[in-house]
Amino acid sequence: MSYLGTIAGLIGIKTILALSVFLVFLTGQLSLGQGAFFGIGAYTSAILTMIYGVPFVLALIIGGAISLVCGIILGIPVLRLRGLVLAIATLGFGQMVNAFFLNWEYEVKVNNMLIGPKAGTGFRYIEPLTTQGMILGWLLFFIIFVYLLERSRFGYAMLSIRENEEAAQSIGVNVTMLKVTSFAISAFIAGVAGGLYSHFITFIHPLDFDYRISIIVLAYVAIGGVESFWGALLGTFFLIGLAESIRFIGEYRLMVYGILMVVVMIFRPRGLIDRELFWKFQNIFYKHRS
Amino acid sequence: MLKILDLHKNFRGLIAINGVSLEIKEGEIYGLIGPNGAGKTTLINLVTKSLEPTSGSITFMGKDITKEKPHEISKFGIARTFQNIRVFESLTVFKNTWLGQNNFARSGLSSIFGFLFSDEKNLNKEVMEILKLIGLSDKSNIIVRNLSYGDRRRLELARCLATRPKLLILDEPAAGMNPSETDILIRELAAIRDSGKTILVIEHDMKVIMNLCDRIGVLNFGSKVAEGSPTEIQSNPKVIEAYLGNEE
Repeated sequence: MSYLGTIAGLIGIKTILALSVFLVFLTGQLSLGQGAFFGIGAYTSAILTMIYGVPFVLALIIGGAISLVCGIILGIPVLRLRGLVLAIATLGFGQMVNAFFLNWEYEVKVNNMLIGPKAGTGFRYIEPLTTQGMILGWLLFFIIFVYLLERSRFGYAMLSIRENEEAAQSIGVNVTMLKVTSFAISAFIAGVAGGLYSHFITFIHPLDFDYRISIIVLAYVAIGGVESFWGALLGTFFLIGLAESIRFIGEYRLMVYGILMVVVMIFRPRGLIDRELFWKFQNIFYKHRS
Repeated sequence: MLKILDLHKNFRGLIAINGVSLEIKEGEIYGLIGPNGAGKTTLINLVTKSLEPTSGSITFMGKDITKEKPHEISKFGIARTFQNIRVFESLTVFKNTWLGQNNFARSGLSSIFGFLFSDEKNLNKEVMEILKLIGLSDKSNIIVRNLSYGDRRRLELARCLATRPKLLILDEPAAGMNPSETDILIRELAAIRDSGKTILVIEHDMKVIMNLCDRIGVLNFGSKVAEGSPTEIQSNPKVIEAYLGNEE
């Protein structure tokens, strides 16, 4: 696959992951464990296709579903926590899942070849079933879902929790239920992204799914803006595009990257896209239409 | 309508509410006054279940709500405002009020296909009517963080009304308002009562309390020390003692 083709695919997968982070943000939660859900989806779907011969689409959905179940199991006790404490709890979950993958061996002979995750050496020879078109398809599907969600009463009820939990409760919003729901949907999306990733890169390693990916994707969303899912999209495109386009300056690019993140946070603390900007665009659009 | 019976609340040994009983009748404005720290806000937090009572019972329209979860309370028809204003800062005035309809509008996961259903039109109309009543209709598209203090207080009231409440619990609605804003508030609250709603109001501004309330309860150190009409309360020695101390 060409360099640009690979980059395009990875941007798509990371954008899906960014959408999953945005969903957690929607109820005002901060998750540093998205990498774990990404990993659960990646491993599950790869095992299903490679060892059990499950059709790819089905494997993706099952990977997402198992991720979702883990999200609910983690979410119910952990979502009582807030802010930094919650971030650390999810970080702990991420490291726990990671430690599991680092030790887990599950190799099965398929066509005279040992296939499966092998602890620290990773999971090799995964069939490249993911195409860019498929990534685009799933991305569009999730974008439409989040777009509709963001405009619905369900989505606004989630938002109201982020804005003010007590006030949300006073108008009848079931805070715990919505937090767990957003966490679960987010885990599903991250799980599907993981399945797409493992069948795109064909080799996965536990360290692909540790806290670093969680933090990088969180940065995409924080810089793009947390007040609208457009922020998640823009942040991912902007930061990956930037990182790739200044590759010529070598490893100094990480410095430029870091400086830019600081600058954006100083001048646009709500991220590049916030609600005011969004409204301006929307008003222009509506004026032209009517 | 609302019956509180022998309510107690202890915070790790500190007695915040000590055996308060009171009853609010349908259609009245009941004022709750008392010095700072008397337990007024604690009492309404207990009624709205933001806090768990240590003992005692709360009945609303004949139903025991003592064991309900905080988000269930508004379904019974109880809406509240907060002493330190709690509005949804990054949303517009319209959406803040619209969110108040959460209980009876289609607001589950199926609402993501809300555009397929037509019930939203009437609900939007209802929001605009409430905003007109509260005097915020020309500001409906303003994002709340750009709104003045008085307007935020009013917006909280609008959001309350959007929940179609039977009982409104207002925690210091006139706090921080200037005299002319307070006059407008008094008129609005009277109009809300006349539209058939019951109001429980905590307030330090005696102009609001004396002009508006049908009955007044006085709290001091977590106990109800007096109750009666505005004129009775004004001349009650226990009330004067609660605010100014006794002669010795």
